[in-house]
Amino acid sequence: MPIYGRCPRIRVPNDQSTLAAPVVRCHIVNHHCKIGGIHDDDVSASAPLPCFLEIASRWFMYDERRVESAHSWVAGGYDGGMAARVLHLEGFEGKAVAVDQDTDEVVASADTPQELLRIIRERGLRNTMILRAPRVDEPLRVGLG
Amino acid sequence: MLRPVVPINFSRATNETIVALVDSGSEHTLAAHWWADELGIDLSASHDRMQLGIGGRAVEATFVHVELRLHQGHDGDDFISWYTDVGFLEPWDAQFYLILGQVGFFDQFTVTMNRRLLTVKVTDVQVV
Repeated sequence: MPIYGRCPRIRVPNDQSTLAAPVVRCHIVNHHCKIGGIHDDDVSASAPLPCFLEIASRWFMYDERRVESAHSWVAGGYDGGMAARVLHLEGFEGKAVAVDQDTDEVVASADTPQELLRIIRERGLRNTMILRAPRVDEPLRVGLG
Repeated sequence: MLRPVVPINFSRATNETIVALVDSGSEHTLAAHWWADELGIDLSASHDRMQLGIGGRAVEATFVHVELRLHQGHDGDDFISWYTDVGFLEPWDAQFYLILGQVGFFDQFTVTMNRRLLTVKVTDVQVV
């Protein structure tokens, strides 16, 4: 399987240094991650894997310093964590919509996804992702159903 | 509504990113029929077909081997790709135009969801 990953790095505020592949032991407490914990629920990371912990783009403590990170929980060579999204689809019910991945706002809509793709290509819209906004009278669907 | 979704695109002939639903209850990875047209895939050439029960009705899915890309964050150049069989079917009523199921996604990655932390963690099974 080809992997196009990158070594995750974290930035320490007021330090300007960047840490890569730190060897840490962590456990999770109330959405936070504390370094150095020793517990049955500990998550261990050992060199040479580039591992560290971060929870949902929040923060954790490293060497008693608060560390911010845009990365998510990593346990290997691919950083694939995703934070939840709050999409603003009001006014586009029943439409195929293109949502900006930075703002989560609808930047284009159409009656059909094929038409939406044409609009995206004509406008050269980048950094968008597409989905269908549910109709107002539509029941909450479970997966494909 | 909070759903586990990830940004995916088909590597072939299209750059548009789809909001794909991570659905552990789906045996297969499925996509809306019209995607095949967009990708230039001739579904009539595939003999890998299967009747699926969806929403109380039987729907025929046509499977084609394609490459998928899972994107990390908003950086379009940072992704992981893999090949798998995707079933194209119509009609397609789902909100998300791609469903990532057991075959095609969960057999490729370890997936951990945490609703309280609002996260979906996707890890390459070959690395862990």
